[in-house]
Amino acid sequence: MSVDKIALIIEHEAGAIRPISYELIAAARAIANDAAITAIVLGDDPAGVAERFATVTGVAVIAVAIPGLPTYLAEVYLAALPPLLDEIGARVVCLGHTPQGWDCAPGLAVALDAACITAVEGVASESGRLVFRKTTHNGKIVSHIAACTERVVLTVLPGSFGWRSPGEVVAGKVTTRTVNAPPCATRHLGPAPAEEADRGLAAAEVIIAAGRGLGKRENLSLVQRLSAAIPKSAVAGSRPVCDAGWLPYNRQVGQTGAVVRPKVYLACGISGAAQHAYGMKDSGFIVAINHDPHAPIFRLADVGIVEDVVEFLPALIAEIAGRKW
Amino acid sequence: MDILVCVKQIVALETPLRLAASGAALAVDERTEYRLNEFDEYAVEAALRLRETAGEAHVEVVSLGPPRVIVAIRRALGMGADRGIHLVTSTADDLDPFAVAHAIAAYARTRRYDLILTGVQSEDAMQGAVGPLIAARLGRPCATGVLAMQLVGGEIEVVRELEAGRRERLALSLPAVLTMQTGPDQPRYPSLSNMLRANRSELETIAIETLDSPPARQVVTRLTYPLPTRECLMLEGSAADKARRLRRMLVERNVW
Ligand SMILES: Cc1cc2nc3c(=O)[nH]c(=O)nc-3n(C[C@H](O)[C@H](O)[C@H](O)COP(=O)(O)OP(=O)(O)OC[C@H]3O[C@@H](n4cnc5c(N)ncnc54)[C@H](O)[C@@H]3O)c2cc1C
Ligand SMILES: Nc1ncnc2c1ncn2[C@@H]1O[C@H](COP(=O)(O)O)[C@@H](O)[C@H]1O
Repeated sequence: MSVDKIALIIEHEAGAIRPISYELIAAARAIANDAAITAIVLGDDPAGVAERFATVTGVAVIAVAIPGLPTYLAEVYLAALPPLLDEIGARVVCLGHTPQGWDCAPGLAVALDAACITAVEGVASESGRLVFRKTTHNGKIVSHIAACTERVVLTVLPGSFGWRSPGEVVAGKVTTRTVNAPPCATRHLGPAPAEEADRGLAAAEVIIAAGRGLGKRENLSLVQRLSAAIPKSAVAGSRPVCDAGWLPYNRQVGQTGAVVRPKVYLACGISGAAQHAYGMKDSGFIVAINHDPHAPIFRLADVGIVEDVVEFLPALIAEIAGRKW
Repeated sequence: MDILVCVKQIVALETPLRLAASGAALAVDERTEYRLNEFDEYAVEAALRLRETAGEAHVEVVSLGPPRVIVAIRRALGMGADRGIHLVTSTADDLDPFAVAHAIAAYARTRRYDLILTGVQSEDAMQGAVGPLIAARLGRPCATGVLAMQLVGGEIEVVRELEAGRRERLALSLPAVLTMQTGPDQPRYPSLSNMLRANRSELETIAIETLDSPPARQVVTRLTYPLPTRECLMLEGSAADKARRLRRMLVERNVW
């Protein structure tokens, strides 16, 4: 199947364009380098965002003004987008693999009779078919998925397709239209109190991160003792550790927690799921301790230690605390 | 208040995984271990808690798959769900998310559920698609990544997770579909008395062929192992050797 037309859904908030919106262009180019790309932006007053996106990228943008739309709302997007995508004749629709994109993509696929492939990290053409690549099985396997349909809706995993600003470009054409929001069965009630990341995490040069592999709450004292022995270090955790109440949520690293970039990241009993990796993969030097030699964390790490973390940490503490720095 | 929770049985991903000869599925044999998708345990827990606060609620669980998935349904019953439904497939292979959602929606249409819960994603396929697809098939409102929910008047108010610790609140009119995220309400262990009841209770069994399956929209053509993004040096020797080497490497790199 030759893909001639690709549509992208721009993400924006409070007038700012989310970085994933640019990555969607890179994904579209990887799918079909010469396809016509149309970006779509929905919002109460999307003209400014549309102009900026078109100017920076050179991509044509359709701005859909929906009076009174406070922010992303699934039902509004699902009502407004299908007719527009039909009109464009989009064969592939790209959204971000973000809370907005994964909320919207499946419903869109149903409306368009399209396949729905989520968290896409790569694309290849195999015997004339587009085959999309994504991580599955908690990071241990990569699945290659072909669409059997004429049209495909996909969500693109952030960080998978690097986008570079083209520099000086001829601004894309911006067209504007207004549609009314349909009656909705969902009401937006506004933001809920956020869990802001602990400032200590951003300042720390060494982060010692606790995962579920620590087994029980009492073993958290091992990472705390290690941290006490290392200057400028802080303790963080994976989501299950915070869910279990071993650490407060402001210590969670990952897509729904903090993104950190310390000099050293020491992952203790962490499997290395994509949502955790999102928050730590750019750390300077990554050390992973895990008793499973196949744990995905070793694929992100510079140094791997296959050991029972509960037995290994006391040895490491003795080694480090026993010497002068 | 009638609640349906969708639960998926998956291969225990902590165990070593091998690829089948076809290259498009995991190899399984009689020793393969299975378990309940973790996110679905949280969905069952959320439904049970809603039943505890709403009083008159009824919690049912549905799973689609070959006969082995009965174990997952019984586990949810052991946690306290009231009734189980098994949508039986004649193949052991996973169906595409549209086929799964189509069958669950077709079944749900024959009942009157006020709320349908799924996990935010399955740990094996990691699609996050089946919940919103069920909602689209039934024409119901849907919210994904729900951390907390509460009945207020005739609506369900939810806290939905965004990125970087941010959250939003939504009110959905019932019936609605929610996909549940993990949170502080840890899933309870099945109780012995519930397990005994679960093992005795009759499941409703429906062959999915009777629900007229749509053609697949997407197929897994191949599975591979992920490539490393960094070259990982695996330390060898005793635990004390490894600790010593690690300390030295950190010092040499002048990391602090
Ligand atoms: C939308 C969404 C957002 C998410 N956001 C985040 C996020 O921001 N941050 C986050 O962390 N997760 C997030 N998750 C969850 C993520 O998918 C994983 O479930 C989570 O990261 C797993 O945490 P873990 O590695 O501690 O636990 P597990 O995956 O259970 O891994 C435990 C590891 O410890 C090892 N282990 C067990 N016992 C021992 C032992 N004795 N010694 C050594 N090793 C041992 C095991 O081999 C395993 O690799 C999110 C999920 C979703 C769907
Ligand atoms: N075979 C199945 N039977 C019952 N529920 C399922 C099945 N597959 C997926 N689900 C539900 O849909 C959710 C999302 O799955 P997925 O779209 O595969 O990530 C899971 O957490 C389950 O609640």
